[in-house]
Amino acid sequence: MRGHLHLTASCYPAGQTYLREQSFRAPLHLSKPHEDAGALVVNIVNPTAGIFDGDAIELNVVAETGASIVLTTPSASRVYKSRSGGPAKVQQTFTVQAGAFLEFYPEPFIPQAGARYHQKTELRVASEGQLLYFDWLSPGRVASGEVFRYGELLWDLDVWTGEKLAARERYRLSPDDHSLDSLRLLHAQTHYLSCFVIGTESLPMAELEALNSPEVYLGHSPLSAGGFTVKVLCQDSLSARRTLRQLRDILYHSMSRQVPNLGRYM
Amino acid sequence: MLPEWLPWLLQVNDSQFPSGAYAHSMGLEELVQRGAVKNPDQLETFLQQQIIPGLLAFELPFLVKAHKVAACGDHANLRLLDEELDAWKLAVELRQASRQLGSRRLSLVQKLDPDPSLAAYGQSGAPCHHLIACALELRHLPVAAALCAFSLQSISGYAISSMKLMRLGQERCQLIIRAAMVSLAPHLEGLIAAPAERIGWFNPLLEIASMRHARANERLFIS
Repeated sequence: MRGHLHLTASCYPAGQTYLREQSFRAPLHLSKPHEDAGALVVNIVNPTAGIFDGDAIELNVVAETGASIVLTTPSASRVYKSRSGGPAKVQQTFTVQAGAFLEFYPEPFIPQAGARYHQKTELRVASEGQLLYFDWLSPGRVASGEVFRYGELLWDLDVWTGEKLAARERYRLSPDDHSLDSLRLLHAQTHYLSCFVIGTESLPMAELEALNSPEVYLGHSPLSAGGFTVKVLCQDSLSARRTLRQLRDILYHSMSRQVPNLGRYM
Repeated sequence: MLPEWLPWLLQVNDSQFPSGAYAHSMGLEELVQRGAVKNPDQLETFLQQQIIPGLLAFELPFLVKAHKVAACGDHANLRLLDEELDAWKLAVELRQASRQLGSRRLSLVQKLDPDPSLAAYGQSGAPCHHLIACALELRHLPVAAALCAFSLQSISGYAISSMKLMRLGQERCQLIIRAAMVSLAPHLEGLIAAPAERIGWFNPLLEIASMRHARANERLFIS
């Protein structure tokens, strides 16, 4: 399938965020957005079983000046075994204008055995813009005995602050080489969390450090051109979910923002 | 016939060359403290399975590009590659260590063999990452020599710092370096002949280790 989601979040003079433009095509769909804690919460829904080889999906989201938008997914993103040998492709661009806020908080990404997937992400944040971007990469369908048995994941990400490249990642993950070794060294079924925080002067170091435990190995660092990254290796899905939720709360508080409720209990 | 560049390569690659590399573990100190790398056998596995693949998938293909640009004297594009490295190195301590090593190397080689071109680059305000400094100082050498030199500096940096972090003697240290270079060397010609279009490597463990090392209460190494 060739699907897309194009959103432009704008701001009424009274300060309320609304979707000025929206366009989507299967396999993507939007639930009815709701407002919470001053932000518009938008659930990106994939009503199909998941992502299949040959799928090409494009997300393009712009938060215009004054807008506050939270993008999330109600369930995990599953990528199924490639039948053709080719990948599924997702290209996503999140643009935050000056004075706007955007959060992307997806549920876990679960690549099943034999899955092939290529994700390209571009984050563009203007000065005075604020971004919280999360990724959660699971080892696969662990309960079914599928741990790091996907075929190939290509994971590309660029972060731009103003006109400067602040972060670049290009990963090729495959069980056929040593690319997963660092994930597997501490825990056999490591869940990997990645976060980029743009638009805050500092991070609450002590609170972040306190998230470390025998189950959680977390580090954080300023980027070269503004902003921060937080990287975490978690022992399992429970510790990953707990850490992600705590991390989100800590980062929201550090940005002096109320935490929008995503309507979940876990 | 002796290549005229060989004495230069030997000198700037000597373990006594005061580039400051002895003060860096590049995140390994934290991994040892964490118990992820505990002994010489695990160090060897770490180098073979995490550092060498990273060199082959990222640093060395990047060095091939940088060496070509440096050999042409194209400092504008070299500066772009230098600044791009800032973005690749997410952990601030690894980023700063790379800049420190590179700046120190450029400064030293400039004293050994004054070169207005090198001096101009060093004083331009460019980040001067270690990889870029290697490309510059070895720009007149065959690229294969530059790749070998950079690989040896990287691998021996981890191995030599390990002697202060675990029970590892000099002889075993050299054996580990030798085995690593033997594993890596056969891949170099291929990297040069068919430059990779897509480069990059995934090592969140080392990134996190470096991020945590930057805030460690006690440590032997700068990075």
